[in-house]
Amino acid sequence: VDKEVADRSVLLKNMLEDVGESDKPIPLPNVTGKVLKKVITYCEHHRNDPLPQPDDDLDDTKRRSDDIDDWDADFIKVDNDQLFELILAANYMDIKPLLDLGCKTVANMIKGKTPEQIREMFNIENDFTPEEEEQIRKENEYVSLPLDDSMMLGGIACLLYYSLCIANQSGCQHYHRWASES
Amino acid sequence: MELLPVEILQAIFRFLPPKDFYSKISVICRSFRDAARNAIPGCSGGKVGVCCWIRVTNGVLDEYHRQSYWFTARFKAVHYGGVEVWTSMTGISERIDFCAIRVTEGGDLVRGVENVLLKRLERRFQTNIALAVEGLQYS
Repeated sequence: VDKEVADRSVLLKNMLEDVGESDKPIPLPNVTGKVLKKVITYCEHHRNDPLPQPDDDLDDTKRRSDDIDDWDADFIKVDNDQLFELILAANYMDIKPLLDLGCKTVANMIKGKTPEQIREMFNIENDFTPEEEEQIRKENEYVSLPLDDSMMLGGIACLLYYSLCIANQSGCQHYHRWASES
Repeated sequence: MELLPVEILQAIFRFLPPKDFYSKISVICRSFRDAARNAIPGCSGGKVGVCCWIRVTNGVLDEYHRQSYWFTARFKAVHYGGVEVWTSMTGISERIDFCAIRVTEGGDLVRGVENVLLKRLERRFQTNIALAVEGLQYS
């Protein structure tokens, strides 16, 4: 692997700097060969990307999960087990863009799903008692959530409906008044 | 997935919209609930970062005193686990703790900052204070 590609991993970059020029293999005990191959493919594709900066996380635009480009989206189309292995490898090898890609992908899978669907999708056991679950639901009701589009549309629909009702009602009153006067 | 380390679960949760995070994550399983305690959606870390300018005006009614005592001070508030308010102009330093998990949008945070700061500064200046939080951002 080229040094330029290996340098995408902060772990490898630091190790190479410590070891210096050497032909000795670098051990990566926490990464399987299959996953490492995938990681190398990612690093080769992104070899010319600017390296992430420490304060990138403070940029709100970088906290979005809907900005995955086509190549990355295709690259990360793997089964759940491999996805989590890739995330763990990216975390261990300190490859932030790959870690973010994996985390964004999982976040996108969670979005819009019910808790039961999320459990089913990731094979998670519900280890709460019904009482605990109810208690947690109540705790979270405290939070005021921003209106989403569907709620906004629902609100507009209600307003329109009530406006029509009022208009209809006043129209009827006008009609009755006109009818009684005539 | 629940076997992922806490820091990775939190990294995932931070990419979720508040609605999904607050209404679903904590009820999935215990490990998710525990990880969610220190993850704030949209925030880069486990802490809410708040930056704002707070204008404090002394509301003395008398015209002479208004001119004499009217002042506008700017405070930079930074929240790392709490909100620390400081200024080199008046030497004010206040720290306000919020339950980070309750912070879902700027509006809530503005109200929280205003309510707590107002009381603290009223005590400090022992007068009525008009307080306005400007340009609040959190990350």
